Order: sequence, then C-alpha cells, then structure tokens
Amino acid sequence: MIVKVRKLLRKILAITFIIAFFIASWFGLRYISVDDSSSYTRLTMHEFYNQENIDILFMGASHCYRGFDTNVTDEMLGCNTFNLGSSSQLLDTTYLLMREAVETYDIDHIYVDLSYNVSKESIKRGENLTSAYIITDYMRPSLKKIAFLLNKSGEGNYSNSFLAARRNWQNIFDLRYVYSVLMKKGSPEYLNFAYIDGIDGGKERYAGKGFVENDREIADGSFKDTFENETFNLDDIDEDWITIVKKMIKYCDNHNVKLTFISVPISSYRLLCYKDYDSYISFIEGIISESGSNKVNYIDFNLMREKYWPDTSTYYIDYSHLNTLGAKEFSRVFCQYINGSISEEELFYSSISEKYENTEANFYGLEYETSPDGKSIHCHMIASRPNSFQSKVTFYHEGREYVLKELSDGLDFGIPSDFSGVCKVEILYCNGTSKYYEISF
Amino acid sequence: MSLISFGFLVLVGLALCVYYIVPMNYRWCILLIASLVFYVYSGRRAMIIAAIIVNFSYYMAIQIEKSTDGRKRKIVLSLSVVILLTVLALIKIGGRIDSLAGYLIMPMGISYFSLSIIGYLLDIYWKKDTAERNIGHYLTFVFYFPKIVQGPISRHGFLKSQIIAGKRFDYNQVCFGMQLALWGGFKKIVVADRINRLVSTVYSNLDIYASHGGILAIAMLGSAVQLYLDFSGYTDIARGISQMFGIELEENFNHPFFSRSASEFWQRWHMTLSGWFKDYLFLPVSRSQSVKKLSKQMGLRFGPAARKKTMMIISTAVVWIATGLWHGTGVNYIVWGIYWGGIIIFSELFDFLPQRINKWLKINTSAPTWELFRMIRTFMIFVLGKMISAQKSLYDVKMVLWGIFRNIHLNDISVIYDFGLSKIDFMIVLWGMLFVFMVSLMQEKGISVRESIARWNAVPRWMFYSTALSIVLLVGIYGAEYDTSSFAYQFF
Repeated sequence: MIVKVRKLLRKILAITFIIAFFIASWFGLRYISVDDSSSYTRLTMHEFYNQENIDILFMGASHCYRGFDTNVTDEMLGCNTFNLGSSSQLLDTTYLLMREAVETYDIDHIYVDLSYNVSKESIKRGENLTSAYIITDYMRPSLKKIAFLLNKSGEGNYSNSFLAARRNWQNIFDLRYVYSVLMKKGSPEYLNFAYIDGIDGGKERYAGKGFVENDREIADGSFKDTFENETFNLDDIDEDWITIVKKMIKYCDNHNVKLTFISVPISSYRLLCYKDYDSYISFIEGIISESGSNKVNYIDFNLMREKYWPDTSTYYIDYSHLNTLGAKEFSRVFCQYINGSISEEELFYSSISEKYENTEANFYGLEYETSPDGKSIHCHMIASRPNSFQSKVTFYHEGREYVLKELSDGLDFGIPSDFSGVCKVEILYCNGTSKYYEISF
Repeated sequence: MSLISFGFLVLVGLALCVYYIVPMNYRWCILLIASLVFYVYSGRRAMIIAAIIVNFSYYMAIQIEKSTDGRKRKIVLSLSVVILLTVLALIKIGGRIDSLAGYLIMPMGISYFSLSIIGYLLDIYWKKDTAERNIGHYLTFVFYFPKIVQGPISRHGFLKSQIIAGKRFDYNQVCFGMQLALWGGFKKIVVADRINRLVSTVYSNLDIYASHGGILAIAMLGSAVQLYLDFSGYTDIARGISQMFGIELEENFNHPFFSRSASEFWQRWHMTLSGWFKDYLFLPVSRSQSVKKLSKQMGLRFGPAARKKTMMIISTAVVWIATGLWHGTGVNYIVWGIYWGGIIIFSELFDFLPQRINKWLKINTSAPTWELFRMIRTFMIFVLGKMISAQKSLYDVKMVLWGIFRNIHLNDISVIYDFGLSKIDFMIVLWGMLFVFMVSLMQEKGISVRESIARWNAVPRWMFYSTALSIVLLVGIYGAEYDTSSFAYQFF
C-alpha cells in the first residue's frame, strides 16, 4: 500500500514538474522575446494592482489616459483616482478591466470614455487583438481573463493569446535583440517600474497612475487630414458594442458602483469634420435610456463653453488627444464640474450645433482628397461660422508664390498635385481683422 | 475541421477520455460518434452524399456475399464499382468545370474512402473478407476520423477487428501515439508549411519568376520535399492519434528518398495507395483473360521473357493511367501518370542495360557513392514528376523547365528572401530538414528513435516532449498570422 502511495506521489510530482517546466519555458520565451520596457500599460497595471483603494476610476482608450491628469483629480477631488486607459482600449476590454477593478477595490465611481473614433472600432472576434493583449498580458491570472481571451481571440488566435512568446517568435532568434531586451529588463528602472524611453523626442512621459503627458502642441489652424479619415457613420458601431454598454450599466448597478459615460474633448477641427456629431450624443443617450437605468448618464465634454474650454488647438497633440496643458486644464474643469463648482448649464451647450453657432468664427485647418485623375488636390476649409469671413489662399512652391484662391467667400480650392511647400491661408473676418495660418504640404 | 486545429485537439482529447471510460464492447461507438462529429463539422451537405455512398456499399457488399450465383455476384460487383467510380469521377471532373463547381459538393476524403470501399467489395467478391452486417461497425471503418481526410487507405480486414474489439488503455501506446503525432506536426507545420510559402509564391507567379532559373530550381526541389513532409507529416499525425486509441493504421511512407529506383520509390511512397493499385488493379489486369492471351501470343513470337514483359507493360500502363487520374483530372496528371508509368516500364524492359553500362564503364556498384547516386537520381525523377503535377497546365511545365535551363544564375540566390520566407524561416527549414533526414537515416538503419526515447527516465523524457511541443507551438505555421510589428510595446 505504502509503495503504491509512494509511486502515485512520485507520478504526481513528476507531472507537476513537467507542467511547471512547460509554463516556465513559455514565460522564459516571453521574457526574452517581448520588449515591453516602453510599455505604459505595464506600469499602469503594476500601479493598478498596488493601490490601497481606488475611489474614482477613469477608463477608456488613449483619449482617457492622455485626458485625465490624476495628479489634478486626486488633489481637487480629495480622493484616490486612477486612470486605467490604454491604447485603443475597446469596450470589451474596458468591461473586463471594470470587473477586475470592482472585484479588487471598493470603487465609488467609474467614468468610461466613449469617444466616437474608438467606439467605431470593431470588437468582433479575432480583430484588434493587440489592444486587448497589452492589458491581458499584465492582468493577474483569473477565469475571467481566460474566458475573455477565449471569446475575444477565436480559434485561430488561441496560441497568440495564451502563449505570448508565439507573437514575437522571430525575435527569439535575433541574439542582438534578445541581448538588448535582457539589458533593458535587467536595469533598475525596469525592475522598479520606472519609465525608460523618452518617446516623442522626450516630450512624452508616463506621469503616474495611468496618466501619460505629452508637451507637443498643434498651432491654431494647422490641422490637415484626408476626407477618408474623417468619415462619421453611426452604422459603423457594432451591435455588440451597444450590448457591452448595457452590460456595463447592469454590472455597475448590481455592484452599487456609480457609472458615468463621458467623452473627453477632441479638437474642433475633428468635431466639425464629423458634421453631425450631435447624432452621436443622441445615440449614446438613447442606449442609456433603453437600458432603463436612471443612475447612469452621459456627459460629452465637447459641449463645453469657450469660457471654460478655449477653442484652441494648442491643447492638443493631434486631432483628438490632449497634451499636458490640455489634460491639466480639462482635469481641472472636470473636477470643478464634479464638485459642483460649475453647474451643467453654465458649463455646457445643449448641442454641438448650438456651440458653433454661438462661438466666434474660427478657422481650424483643411481636409483634402486627390482628384480621380490625380492631377490636383481638392481642399476644403474646416471652420466655424463659415459665412462670416472671406479667405485668400497662397501656395509657396519651389520659392515661387501661387495664388490659389483670391480673397472671396467659399471654402474650397485646389492645389496642383505636384506642388509641395507651404499653403498660407488668410482669413478676413467681418469685423475687419485678419489672421494667417500656415499648413505644410 | 482540420487536423491542425484547436477544435480537433479538443475532439481527440474528449474522445480519448470517454473511449477509455466506457466498457470495451462500446468503445467503437465513441470512435463512430467522434468520426461523425468530425465529418459533420467539415460540411453537413457533404455528409449526406458520403452517407448515401456508404449505405449503398454496405447494402451491395451484403448482396455480393449473399448471392450464390457467380454471374449475379459479378453483376452486383461491377455495378457497385461503376457507380462508385462514376460518382468519384463526376465530383472530381465537375469540380474543374466552373459552371458546375458551385453546385457540386466534394465530400471530405472521397478519393480515399472510395478506394477503401471498392477494395472491400472486391475482397468480399473474392471471398477474402466477409461483409459487415453491423452498419455501425461499417460506418466506423469508413469514417474513422484519423484517416478519413488523407488516408492511409485502410483495408477492412486490417481495421475491422481493431475497431470492434476495443482496446485497453496502454500508457506506452498513448505516449508513442502522442510522440508520432507531434513528430508529424513538426514535419507538417514547422517545415512543410514554410516551404509551401516559397513554392506557392513562385508557382503562382510564373510569369514573373520565369527569368529566375535559380529560384525556379529551388521551388521545384522545395515542392518535392514539401509534399513529402506534408503528406508523411499528416500520416504520422493520423497514425499517432489512432495509436492513442490503441488502433494501428497502415504505414504509408518508408523513407522514400532512400529509394534506389522508381519501382522501389513507389513501394516506399504512399504505400497504401500503391498496395491498393497492386492488389485491386495490377494483379486483376495481369490475370485477365485478354492480357493473358495477348501475353501468350507475344511469348510464342518473341520468347518466354516477352510474355512476362507484355503482361507487366499492360498492367503497369493501366495502373499508372489510373493513378494519374486518381490524383487529378487535369492533363498534367495524365502526363504525370504516363511519366511514372513510362519510367517504370522502361526500367523493367531494359533492366539489363544498367548492368552492361556499369560493366562497360567499370563502375563499382558496391560503393556507397554509387548507392548515393542512385538515390539522388530517383529523387530527381520524383522532383520532376512533382513539378509536372504541381502546374496548372503543360505550358507552365514548359515554362518552369525553360526557365531553369535557360535562365539559371547564381545571383538569383540574392533575392531568395523575397519569396515569403525570411532568413529565420530559411534557417528553420534547413535545420528542420536536416533533423528529419537524421531521424530518417537512423530509422533506415533500424534504430527506433521512439523506443530509444522511451527508455529515458520519465522526467527528462517528458521534458523532451514538452520542449518539442513548445518548438512546434512556437514556430509552427498555424492559426492566425500575427503581425509582430503591430506588437511593438513601445507607445502602449
């Protein structure tokens, strides 16, 4: 009998050892193949799991982690706030993180960012997996995580989802790469969860508790993008996305956590390109009312009045992400609103159309597309109250000046496609003042 | 459902657990259920066609056995074989006609199980086997999931008793099976599927690569190696999984690249197909009255050797045209059949020639280099044959040959990384091929690698298995591709 038990124990020990060896091999492979020394989420998730408690949680994609300065929110709200945003974080990942957070901490209020250009991203099986992996790779093991990955990956991606080294297997054979990864990972900064690389020429850094700041800024009137990138269509939003919004409402309701959906402000340029952004606000409000909850609401910070949120692109690093200054300012206004220092009526317009009817005329930039014959670039000026100014466009190509549009009404003009240089837009307002903007082509 | 898929792994895992739990008498039921699940997952409409064929053959087999009238038996057999071949031909030819392709459904493994069924009917007719009365047993034999996709082409007499009897759990058998399946996985998804990227890139863009003779030559060689590793890898997976259930499937490959002649090659390559054609076509044709009569006439006219050779030429020609048509219905497959049949007939007809030439050139035929030369020669015959069957048309065959002989340049090698394989991929392919070659060489010398590993202590042995599994999982070509550039952690 004793011999049998011994034999059985030896077998169990051997099996355990082999399983441990298999798992350890994959951890080892992942360690040498994945360079996450510049990863924000590694730091965010590490900090997330090491809080005493989180009172207020901000969730969402890059708009969120670049928008909520937790130093400001902590100070002004007098509680512990945490920013759990991550790049292209889609709503299914947000929902997973929400459950992880609620199970880990006694959270009072969660703010989920629903910016349109993330909402329209597909959350279908097997798509946009990188944005999920950058979170799940740092989540603690749980059945919830396994279930999420099984559902999110689809059969074809199981190995990528569960065996992280598989995604970067080529790197394992690059000894120079492996050496550099080992050096980075052996550094005190990495081991102490400090940020190593200076991104964007040192202008960007991880500022703690999930907030990422960037000092770059966009000059007023210098935005430029293609028509294609600026399409706005509510049909692009998945049915599954709507289902997850409703699941979040129900989940927070069941766990006595206050939930607020928000949209962090994006540039006026992008808002005006969308043309019918108000329908998105109605769309979200419709989903919330469909869910039957009266505790949840949606606050779109794009509706902020100029008094609290100046109409300038210098708050942004691009079309839709706030820079260091913008995030500080936005976080401050946000806290004032949450504190009740500013009332809803005082802070917000009722719609985007109302907002731009009541603000001063402003020029934000150009949207463009190449003509079908490829000979010219069709440009359209993006501006608020376009009937209240005249414009003149001059192009500087190879040291010569070409007038593309004489001073006149109208927002459209063309540029020969072989032109490269600077496009100078002169705006003459009704009150007689004029402003100049330069856009590079 | 593919054999290289997560779903299949789950199916095998579940089937294995349940198989060894249920009483012995009912274990075949688990195999039947697993086989039907596997088949249904691969297409429900195709299942209906396959079910009709199987039920028809089940009924016909009983009729052949029941009947005591020789003429009636012959009619029933002929009718059954003609119907089965007609269905097979219709599906295969129809698939090539664009207007019909959309309506025709190709049941999975039809080329393989049709041959199995025809062999079964012939065995009953010749009273070498008895007709299966239990439809469940018969369905399990035909649809047995490890071999349904690509064989081996099993004989009813060989498989029946193993399936019905049920097998006791044997740790060593399960381990050996896992080992074999893993080895097959390595050959298939680590090496063969990599080579396939290069081959398909080149062969599908012949217009572009016609001027790169070196690349065409590499693709031609690669295509032959890829086919061997793919097919033998698949067979190892099938046999390995079957072994885990305690059921041995027939060997299909016996290191064919060590063959010294074309005839030997086909005794080592796709052995169940060669065996099937030998038993059910070659021998019946050579024993038929008309061939006997013709051979006799030739014998009377040219001597006794001519009699034997006439019989061989006619039977070989029939077998190789049939083999070509079984592989595909395009002209290139017929040419491929003629090519192989021609080589085998020529080497049999002029079997005295090599001896005379060797004697005349004073070649030491016992030298290892002579053996090596013969192996390389046979391999090159196979390479050329594979190239013929791999092309869409004879024009493409000409293009490849023309490209190789007229445009071969050493500097073609400099663009080798532009054909779908990176430097690392090439290293994996080269090391993988070397590894397969070393193992094959050991096996050819009679060393059983599996048994050698089985003698190791449990912990190092299982560490070895674990590492082998990790290698296959890590570098195998399977599942969804992942763009590693999209995984740069920077900025995230």
